[in-house]
Amino acid sequence: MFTTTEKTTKTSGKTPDSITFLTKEFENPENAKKISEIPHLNLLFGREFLDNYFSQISINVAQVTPVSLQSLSIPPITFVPSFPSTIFSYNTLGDNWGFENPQENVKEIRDRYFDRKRLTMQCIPDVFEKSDIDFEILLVAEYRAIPEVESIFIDEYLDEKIINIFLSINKYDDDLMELLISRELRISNFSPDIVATYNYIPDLINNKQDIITEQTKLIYEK
Amino acid sequence: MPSNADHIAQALHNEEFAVSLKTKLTYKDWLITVCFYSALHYIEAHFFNIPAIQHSITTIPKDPSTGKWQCSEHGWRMKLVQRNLPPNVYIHFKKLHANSTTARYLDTNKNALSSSYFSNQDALNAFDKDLQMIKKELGL
Repeated sequence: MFTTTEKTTKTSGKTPDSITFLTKEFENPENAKKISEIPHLNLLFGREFLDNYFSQISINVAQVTPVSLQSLSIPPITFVPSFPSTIFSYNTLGDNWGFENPQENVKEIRDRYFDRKRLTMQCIPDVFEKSDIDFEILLVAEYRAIPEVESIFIDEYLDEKIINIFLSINKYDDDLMELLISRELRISNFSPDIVATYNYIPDLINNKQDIITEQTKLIYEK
Repeated sequence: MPSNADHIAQALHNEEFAVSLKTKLTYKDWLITVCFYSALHYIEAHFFNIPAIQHSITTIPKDPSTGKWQCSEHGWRMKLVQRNLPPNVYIHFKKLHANSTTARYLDTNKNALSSSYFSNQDALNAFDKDLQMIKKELGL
């Protein structure tokens, strides 16, 4: 049902992670698109290659295994974590998608991933090629640990990323603001070439649509 | 393009106005906002003395084919602050910007004024803590 491809990253003096790509070929491009629309899997970043209806799914749970340095001979690649197929798999190809193990708590799995991802990227930052998806993963990894962060939306203006972070507070908290801004600096260390504007919106509006446009993407919700 | 002296003069002008707003705190939102604009000019004054920058607007990356800016003026300025100035400047300048935006543009409809989001001390800190820290880090 799945095609798996082993890829490893090369570093010097450090032990990288082994990465398994979980891929699935779709007969219909609409089914490939549906993967990214499943609400409880809003962490999926499905890349669609329209010529052969292939969707590479990078599912944000890391179950990675350290690999010996001696076996490495290929250049670094983008870190794209995936679910091993033993944890879950799609049970059908069509309109209805679901987990074979529905009792799996996706949120817990997601949380474990982001903790692991953040630690991994802090320990071996030079392994990772920069990409939009890594930037979004970084955003979520950094900000989801802050309890006052309710949701994160991302948009683009020209080549600039606009990040709208909705907060649960309705009174200003200076310590919180400094913490949020310190995260921006940390993220910029991994993505120094990305120009990003962060907006922190307190819980003083009833309708997010006053701020969020149609093209704005939700990348995290508590 | 404004010179270093022009920016310093504007920064001081804004700072004097901020001092007057501190006395009554009726307009906390504008105190925070004026502190932001004062800080902005102090930073642009500092940029003027960096040959590779001189002014944030003149260094905004452009699309090579269209000649159009690739990002906003504000976004690029924050990137320059991040790359060229101490982290404390970024943190405090970003705070002033974020808070002035909240104070000015947040259209509250939860029966609260945006200016009630900030306490009197929060507004005073914009001047006494954030603006003064930026000046200190820039050697002003």
